[in-house]
Amino acid sequence: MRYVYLVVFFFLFIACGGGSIGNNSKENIRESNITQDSSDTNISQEPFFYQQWYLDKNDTFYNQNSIDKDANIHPASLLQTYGGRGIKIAVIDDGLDVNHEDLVGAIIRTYNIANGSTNVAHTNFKDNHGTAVTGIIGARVNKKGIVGIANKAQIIFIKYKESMSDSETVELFNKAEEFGADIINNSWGTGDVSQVVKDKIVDLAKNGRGGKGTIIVFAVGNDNKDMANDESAIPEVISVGATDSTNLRAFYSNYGVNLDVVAPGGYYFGITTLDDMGNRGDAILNENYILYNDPNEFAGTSASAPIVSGIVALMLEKNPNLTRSEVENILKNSADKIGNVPYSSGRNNYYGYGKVNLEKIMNSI
Amino acid sequence: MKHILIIFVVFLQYGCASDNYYYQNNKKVSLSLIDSMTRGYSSIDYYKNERGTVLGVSDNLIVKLKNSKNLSNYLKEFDLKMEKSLGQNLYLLKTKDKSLTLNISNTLNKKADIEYAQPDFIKKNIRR
Repeated sequence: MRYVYLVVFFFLFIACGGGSIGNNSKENIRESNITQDSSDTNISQEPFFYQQWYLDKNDTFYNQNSIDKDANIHPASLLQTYGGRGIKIAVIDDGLDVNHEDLVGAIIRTYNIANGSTNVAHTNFKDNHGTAVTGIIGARVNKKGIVGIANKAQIIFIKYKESMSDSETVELFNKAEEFGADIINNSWGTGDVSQVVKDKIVDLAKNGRGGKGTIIVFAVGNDNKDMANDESAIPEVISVGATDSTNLRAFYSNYGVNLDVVAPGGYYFGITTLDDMGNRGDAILNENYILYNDPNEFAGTSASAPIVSGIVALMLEKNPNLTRSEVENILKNSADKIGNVPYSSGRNNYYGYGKVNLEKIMNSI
Repeated sequence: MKHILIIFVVFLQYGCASDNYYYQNNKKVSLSLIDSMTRGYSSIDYYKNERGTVLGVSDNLIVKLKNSKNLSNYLKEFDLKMEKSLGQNLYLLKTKDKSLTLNISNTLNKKADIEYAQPDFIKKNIRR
């Protein structure tokens, strides 16, 4: 009987919280998750966040450098709340430093079209384009470097070849589809898309993502010329032009009837982002990051496109059921009508529907 | 004299044998050959289209059929080899020689059960 009392007492002890070992350990785990999550979103602790003028307005930095007060994407506090959780973004580009300190935990799949391997390192020692683009989207909140817009999204990196056949380009998009990409960022183009590539992109934009449509973002190019028959001119893609720190169209940004929106791409002030680590890459002022004032700055519509891809990831985090055309309409309808070119029926050929505004975008979802 | 004649005929063959156009969205797009002197020595011929884009043409072509019923007949008729499927009714095919690619693509393009056919163009990707 004494043993029965002991057993009953023991069970009661465990079940009622006197068993603090069990409960506290669960609580500790939950607490540590919460702690980790909240520290993970404290973006102001990122050392170079203050100079990410394209994302947010740091008064001191803006005043010192005479940056237009509206040159950023108006994030409010949304970058603290949203990070693209559960969203997969494929970046198709020239190579990536997968071991970059600011991308730890970000990369889930890699593929190299040249040989079918998972090695996507840059072919040339000085190249850094794909790393820079990926950083703008997905750099983690880890008290290192910068903050990516979609810093909780999962990144798929697909390395292209400088010279590619149309069948290989189709294969790039097939791979992004196979890996489950919700968004595909393209900071490249050929200037003259073939019918087979166009068909593949249109099909994915209409039928990908389980019928909701994959969001395919293209940079429009930096030649101050009409987009003409470029990949970015396909109506089903989201085409992105560039603005600079004066909050006007960057002089190099291509234009045309199919331009959708513009986003910061920089010119005199570059876009602070990642360089390949160590002595690889091309940055001069810092080994691992391309700072806004680096002599080899990162600027162009290549920087504008990943800003929009990142924004789309936040939109899909808030509402994963948005279709491709709904995403496109929200981006267009909430854009700021900047610049000195008149807008007719809400758009013009140099700014598209205007500059993306994150606060307005998220408020309309 | 005989040698000069042979050289002349060879140049004529390379210069005139193949079509100098392709179809895009059922529109004819003109091509002009770049560097015809090296044409016989490379596996890719380079052309510039009327928009100024440099396009490489190899012995590969792409065909999109409305249905794949006649695929094997076309493979036989044009002596083509199947390389791989790129999607539904979309195939990468290989010709016997790069000099045949444009002609065969253009001929296939006119068939009623073919949506389109084009060389597997090689282009430069430009970082932006």
